[in-house]
Amino acid sequence: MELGKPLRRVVVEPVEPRKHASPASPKDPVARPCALPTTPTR
Amino acid sequence: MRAPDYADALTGWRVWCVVDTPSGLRLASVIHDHVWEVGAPAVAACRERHSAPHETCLCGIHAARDPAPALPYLRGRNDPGTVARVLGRVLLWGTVIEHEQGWRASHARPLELWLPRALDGLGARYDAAECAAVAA
Repeated sequence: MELGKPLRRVVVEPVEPRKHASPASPKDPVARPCALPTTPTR
Repeated sequence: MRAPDYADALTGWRVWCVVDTPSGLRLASVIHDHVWEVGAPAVAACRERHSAPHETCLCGIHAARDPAPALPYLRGRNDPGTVARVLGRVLLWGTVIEHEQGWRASHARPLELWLPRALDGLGARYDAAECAAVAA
């Protein structure tokens, strides 16, 4: 994937297990699939 | 030990292949022969035997700040066993090389996946496989 020029090296805090689990699917740390948006937004 | 530059994971965009394995459907790299294990973070490695990611290499788990650079990877020649390509957001942490349009990270975990409506059935299968593996 084209990411452009490297800027800097950083250290990012580790992710705790299940820290980002979806409340709608507590057993699944991976978010639920849904329809592909026509205009993806962040 | 170096203090973290970010206190929480970064979020980027990437494309995965969904591959049919003996253990069920799994996410896999579009470029490399690497299957992401369910419930475990993906950890970068480099064939050059240095720590990944490295500033002078292209290794590491790639993700873009915006979806656009990832979208072209939704198309391409698939290996046998690949049932779809999916766009998604990914959490990145550990050692990270920041780029103008994204990152290369040492650790990653899928956060969200988008499946085309035509693959709703696949979505149900993939979701079921994920839940079963996590619950086991």
